[in-house]
Amino acid sequence: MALLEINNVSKHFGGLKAVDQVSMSIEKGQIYGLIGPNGAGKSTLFNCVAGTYGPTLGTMIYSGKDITRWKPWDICKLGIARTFQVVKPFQTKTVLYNTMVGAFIRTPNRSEAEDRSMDVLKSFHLADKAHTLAKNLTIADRKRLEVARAMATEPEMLLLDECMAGLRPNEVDQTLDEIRQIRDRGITIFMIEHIMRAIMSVSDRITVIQFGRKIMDGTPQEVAKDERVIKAYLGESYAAA
Amino acid sequence: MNTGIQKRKKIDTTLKVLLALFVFTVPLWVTSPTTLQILIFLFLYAYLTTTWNLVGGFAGVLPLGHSAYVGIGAYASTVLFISYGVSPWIGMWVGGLIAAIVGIIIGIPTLKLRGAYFALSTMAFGEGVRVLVENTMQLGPFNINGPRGICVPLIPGNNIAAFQFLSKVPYYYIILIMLCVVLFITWYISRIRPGYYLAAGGEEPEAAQSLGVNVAKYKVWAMGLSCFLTALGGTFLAQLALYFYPKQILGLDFSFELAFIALIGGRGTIAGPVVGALILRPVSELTRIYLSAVLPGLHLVIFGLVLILVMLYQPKGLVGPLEKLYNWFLDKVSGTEKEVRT
Repeated sequence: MALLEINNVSKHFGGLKAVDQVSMSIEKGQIYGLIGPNGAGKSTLFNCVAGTYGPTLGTMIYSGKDITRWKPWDICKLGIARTFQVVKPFQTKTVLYNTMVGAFIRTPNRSEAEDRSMDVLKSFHLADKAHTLAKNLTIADRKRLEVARAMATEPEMLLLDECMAGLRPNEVDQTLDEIRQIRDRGITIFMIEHIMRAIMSVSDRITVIQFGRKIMDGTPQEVAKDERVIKAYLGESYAAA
Repeated sequence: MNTGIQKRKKIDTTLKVLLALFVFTVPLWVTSPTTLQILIFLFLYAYLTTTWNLVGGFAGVLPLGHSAYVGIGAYASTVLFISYGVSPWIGMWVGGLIAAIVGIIIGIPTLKLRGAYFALSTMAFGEGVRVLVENTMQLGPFNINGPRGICVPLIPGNNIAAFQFLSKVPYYYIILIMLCVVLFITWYISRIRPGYYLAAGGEEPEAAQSLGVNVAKYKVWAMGLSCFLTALGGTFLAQLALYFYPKQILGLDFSFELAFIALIGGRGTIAGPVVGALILRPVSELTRIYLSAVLPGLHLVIFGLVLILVMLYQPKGLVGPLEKLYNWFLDKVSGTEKEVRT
């Protein structure tokens, strides 16, 4: 059985159908990609899964539990952590403070939360910046902190919303490595990404949406070859290749 | 290098112990009741601002109606004393509980509002309470005397049970201990999970929610605690002045002054309210003593100016630069460098 089942989820804002009857199912241990042109409804779908918006229609089943109308904090407690497309660090606090807020979900004990946070920071190469204020970090480090903070909540599933946007090519490669490492620890990853090279190389499966509707899903190879996807999203250069 | 750090720690501890000794022995060598009164008010404002800070600082919103809770404390303990002879020491807890419940009821809808909208709604609430009290002579079995205010009935002599003393010294120690307690509470909360959650939710509510924080719940609890402690201060104020009326104890000026002190001292910091009170209270006392006949309310103008300057040059309040200065001083005398410490 799939870890996360999204069944006919729709989200309407007034007359606008931002997400329109999208279904997908994500298996445990997968890296699942979600792509689509700007404004296709990717982040809205993420927000539905993470509990920020209640979907207008449809259901979401996670490990057999119906989480459709759950609040964000309950979803996080259940084991789904997310990052934001526009990173939202606690700017006036240190990097360690940021991750400790995440770590506190699994333990009320301060020193334990601190230890766990330091472990997470180490695995994201942020340990030496633990006492730096978040606002003083570079863009790349802020993006990394965003993921580290989500990982500090010890999730089973991680939602990454364009965690590589704005990074340099070598930083993208490093992030891809980190994503694979997270997957290798048994954490399922559901990610939105615009950088084709990145998402094509790392995903096990990809869903493509446009105007809120699902166009198709399949392996990266299938997606890259599909006529509709090429026309809708990838552009002529991919069609030629 | 290690000896330097040890020396630094020693000097730090010594200075803090000296400060505590100084503060606790003031009544031994200050005999002027006026000076003591000024200090008592300084501590009272530091106390009230610290309790305000639980919501206004840590939860990241700007309450501008906290005088309502001061008033609830003062009125509750006083009418209980008048009507049933309940000691204000007990009455203050009743006032605290009422204030906490009112704060929670007000907080549940308003804490969802952001920025100016929350500030405006609390202001409206504060003013609403004042107008309500000014137009009410009898509240159930209690005579609250409308705009004329209430006198606490005098009990001759020093009477601990009645919370009345002839000398200022007991008041000085009571408010000093109350201040120490709330400072400790704030410090403690800032180090445990609810404190982290409050600060996180105040800064980036969406991010905090996605990390498992029920932001609204923590804000409401902080509001309840803040209102409870604020009302205890209200009882103290009533017992100190022995007379109060709505415009004074429930006025907007009062609420604003607490916010001014916090903003100038350092909102969301532990020492900020004390620093703010140390700076602003003398201004307000001196203008009141020397200029109240010619220019009443001048202190608020000066507060405004100070606030503008602080917001321009030290938007996080004066506690930050003072802390830096103190650390610099410690490094200088003990010969340690910043790098070594961290």
